[in-house]
Amino acid sequence: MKDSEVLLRISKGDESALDFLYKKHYRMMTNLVLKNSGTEEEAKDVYQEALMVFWQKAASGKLVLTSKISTFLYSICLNQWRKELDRKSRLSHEEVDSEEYQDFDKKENARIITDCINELGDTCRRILTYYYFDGLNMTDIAERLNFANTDTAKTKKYKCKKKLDALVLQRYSKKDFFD
Amino acid sequence: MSINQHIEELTDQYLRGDLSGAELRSFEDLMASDPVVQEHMDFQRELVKGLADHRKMQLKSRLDAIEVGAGTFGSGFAIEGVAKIAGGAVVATLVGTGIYFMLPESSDELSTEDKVEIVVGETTSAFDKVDVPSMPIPLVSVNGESDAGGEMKPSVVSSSARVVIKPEDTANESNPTKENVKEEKSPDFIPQVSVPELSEVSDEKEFVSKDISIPEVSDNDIVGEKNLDPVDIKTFNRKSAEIRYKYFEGKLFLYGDFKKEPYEILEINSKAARQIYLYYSDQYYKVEMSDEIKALAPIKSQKLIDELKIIRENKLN
Repeated sequence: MKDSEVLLRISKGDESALDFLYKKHYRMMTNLVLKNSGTEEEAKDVYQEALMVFWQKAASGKLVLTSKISTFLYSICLNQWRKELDRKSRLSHEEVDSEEYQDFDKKENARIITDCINELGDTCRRILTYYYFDGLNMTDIAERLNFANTDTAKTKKYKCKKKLDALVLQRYSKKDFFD
Repeated sequence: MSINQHIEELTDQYLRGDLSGAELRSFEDLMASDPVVQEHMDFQRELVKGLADHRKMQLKSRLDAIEVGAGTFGSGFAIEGVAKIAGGAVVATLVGTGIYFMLPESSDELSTEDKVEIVVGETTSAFDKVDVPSMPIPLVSVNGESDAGGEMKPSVVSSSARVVIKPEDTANESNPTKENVKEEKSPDFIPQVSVPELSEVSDEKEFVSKDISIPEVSDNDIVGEKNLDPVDIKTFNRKSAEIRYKYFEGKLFLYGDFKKEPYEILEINSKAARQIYLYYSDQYYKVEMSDEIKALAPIKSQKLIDELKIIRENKLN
């Protein structure tokens, strides 16, 4: 499969094109981390994260490739791994406990949001993730989810978002009450 | 300023990176000057991050389920292609060699097209496993899908496709009579045989012989014809009490905290279908076919749980 075809398929939401990329470049990308004092697990995480960046840009149609996909992915992996090494180096000089303590509240909020997202119906989850992560416009969402038209997609997105807002705010206020 | 629909739309556009130039600067100024808008933005940012994490987890779970062991050699598709070509070449070589060495010299006058007639059929090979003695003559060909039809010449029939039945004299199986050999070699002999459907063989009275013990067809045998390889299970550890799974094409991918506690698979194979249940942490789950990653919900029907308990305990005993 050529790069242009991969890009086209991802822009149409074909997740199997992502599978293809993952398999194709796995060894090359993970070797970058493995040869720079990373573990297999870290290498896989970095590569998967790079693919997420690529997916997000390609799915939204905002990506204009001026190099091969492999070159693009390699540069993201390199940056990600540098950042991770920096973070590790900082952590070794600071008190880990204090950072974890500061993050506790954020993690708790994130957990609440995840729970609320899981409480939404499948259609709502897809509309919201397609809109906010994949960067699709309402026409594409309507097409992908077989809605009658763009206006239907807009209305549904609005309602789903309001539902999520309400669910999370309700949990936040409960949490504040118990705190 | 209160949060109206216009601010909500601007917030969405800002978080999606759709604002630019003057619009972007104007909105950033508004956020800096209005704590209500800023607070709204912070909240929305958390939600959008949550949605992004959810989507990433979905895509990463998909990637986790991919076998990457062969990555050093290039794509899996390429390997598959090479393997198929190599396999094809090996089969062709074997068939060619077999024909060269096995054909009697007297059949040289036959054209090449007449010599090779390969009949392939899964049912035929399954039938070959039954110990059925041979009949002196005539040879009976069981047509498979690739059989071009028409008459078959005994000297050129592929052994894998030939079913030879000898209902009367089993003692002659290993020592064919001269008469038999003579008839087999005769190039002019073209048997006219009405060929039964293989699926009907077990019911065909003409094939039943007193001297031969042919195992009876039971339900188990029929089930055995299907692909009953155990389910190929791959597990991925995640620190969550929830178990997620994906099950398609005989492969089961499980995502859960299995380091903490092991799981058990109960596989119930019947004539109609294969059913898979999972036992984990004192609960039973039903695994249904799904090519998407789904959460497993515990079975609530007490009757089904009781039945699964019995099966599980019998299995353990």
